[in-house]
Amino acid sequence: MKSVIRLNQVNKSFGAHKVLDGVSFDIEAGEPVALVGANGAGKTTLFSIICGFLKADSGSVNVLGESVVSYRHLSKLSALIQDAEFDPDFSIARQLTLFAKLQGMSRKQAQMDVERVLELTGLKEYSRQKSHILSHGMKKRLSIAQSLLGSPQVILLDEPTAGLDPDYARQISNILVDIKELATLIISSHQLEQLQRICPRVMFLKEGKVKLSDNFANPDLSQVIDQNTGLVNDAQLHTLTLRCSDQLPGLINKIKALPVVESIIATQRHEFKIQYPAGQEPYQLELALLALFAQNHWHYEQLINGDTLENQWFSQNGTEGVKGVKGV
Amino acid sequence: MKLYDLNRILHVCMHEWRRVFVTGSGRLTLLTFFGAWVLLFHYPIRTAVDLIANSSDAAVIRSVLGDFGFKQLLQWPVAELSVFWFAAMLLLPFTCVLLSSDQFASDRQRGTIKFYLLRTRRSEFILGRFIGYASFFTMLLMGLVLITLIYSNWRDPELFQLGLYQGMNTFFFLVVWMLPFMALTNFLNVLMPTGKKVILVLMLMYIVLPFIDYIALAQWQINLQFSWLLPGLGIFSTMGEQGPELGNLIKPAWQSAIYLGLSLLLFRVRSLN
Repeated sequence: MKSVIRLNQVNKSFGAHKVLDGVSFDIEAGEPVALVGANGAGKTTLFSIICGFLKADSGSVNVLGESVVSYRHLSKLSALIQDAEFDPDFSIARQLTLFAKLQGMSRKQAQMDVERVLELTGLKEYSRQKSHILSHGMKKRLSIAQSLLGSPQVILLDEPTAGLDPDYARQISNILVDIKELATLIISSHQLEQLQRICPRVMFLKEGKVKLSDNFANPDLSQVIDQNTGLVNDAQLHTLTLRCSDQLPGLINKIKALPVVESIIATQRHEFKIQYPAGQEPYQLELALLALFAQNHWHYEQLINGDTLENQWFSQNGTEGVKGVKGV
Repeated sequence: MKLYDLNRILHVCMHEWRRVFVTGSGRLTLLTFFGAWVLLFHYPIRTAVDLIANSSDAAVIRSVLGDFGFKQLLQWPVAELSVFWFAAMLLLPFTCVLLSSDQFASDRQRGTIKFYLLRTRRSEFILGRFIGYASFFTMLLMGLVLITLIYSNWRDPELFQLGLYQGMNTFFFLVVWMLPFMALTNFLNVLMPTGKKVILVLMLMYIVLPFIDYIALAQWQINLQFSWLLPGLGIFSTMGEQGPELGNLIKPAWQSAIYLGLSLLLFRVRSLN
């Protein structure tokens, strides 16, 4: 697989505060990657360094096989930049046309491409308007529109749904799902469920260190995480996450008594992580759980195949980190 | 890979032209600029020309003005261009600084610049913006020189040929004379977050640098020559016998090159938060 972004021992400090501490990772073309970290963890700094807006104190940053300072990535790397706004003097279409021309398109090609991205982001009817009349959500969509101009190979999206109401957040999630086949997306967000929907892989950024997980829908990952926490043995395990709306007396013991269950851990209030060995009959545990709920007249909220990103995030914060990292 | 992509520089430059001719604020600026100059032509400049060229006391006035150091200016063949040149040397630097004070400071502040820098090199962006402003100001100057020539031709049609030569000289001189002001504001745009701060720092430079020169010379007999960094100084020494002395353009040309060079250098390493 072709490497689209490779960081090697990148350090960045602001004064005495070290934001990135020897960050190394390699992202390959294809699958979208989520970037997760607490506020101030350095997600935006990391994106800014990849885009070339900030210079790393040391280390190397390669985009599409070339150093970021060589400018060879221009127009191939695109980004939704948090809080960057369009020029209030010009209409949306005029600015997008300029950006498209800067990417090497002719006037006609640029106009067609602007129409395409505005259509894709649902902003076609606003093309003649200036950006300041747009709502916060529309501005985000506009920012996504500019990032889709031409055919970028990598798109960095810095908090694409921050501050949006559920309607707009869903619209943007849908756009991201639509475009994830077109380019390699790297999405930073605090909306873990949204990220889980789009990205099969996740990078955790904590205390200046980045850990890039394997595919987290991959059953191997749960084993790896639990090795860190020391809660389970080395056997390959699958995970189901069960969410209930109420406290159900005796639930844990009854689930534990099911034949294939290896372990059950309460991850949050009314949420349980159930692990079972790989190689079982398909849906055996799911069917057993449903039967148990029916028998006891219980209600459940959600049954999720796999671990949630939210739980992985909390397990990260409680432990050193995820193994199975593809760090360089 | 090319060092510079001229197309990208041209697109950035043309976008600044659009800002003037397409946007409401740009058109208003243009209208105000030419409106103010038409008023200047119609009243002070025309009156001054009448006084030094046509009035019965012209000889006396010319002799008095000559004592104040305007002797050469009064020898220029087209009086309108002489008065215009002098007014332009005094007023245009302010206009130039006002119009070019925000070349990209607000774009940086707003984050708009990042949309550009995903598609252009930093140097291409800086050059595009500078050329955009410089070419726009050149167009304004050309407009003003043409208006002056129309006025002089209206007063005395026989002055047309002389006026054309002096007009071209004046135009070329003013263009190069104004360039360092735009290069300096371009450089300050790299450092300052707003156009207003660019103007304030520029004013401070005109106060502080000569003061440092004075102190260094008076206290330690060291001639620092910091004032060399300030564009627009020494207007009177630029007056030639038949028009502005083009040999005096070496200093502004150097100043422009230095400020633009500094701008490119500093912007290359500057972080954009």
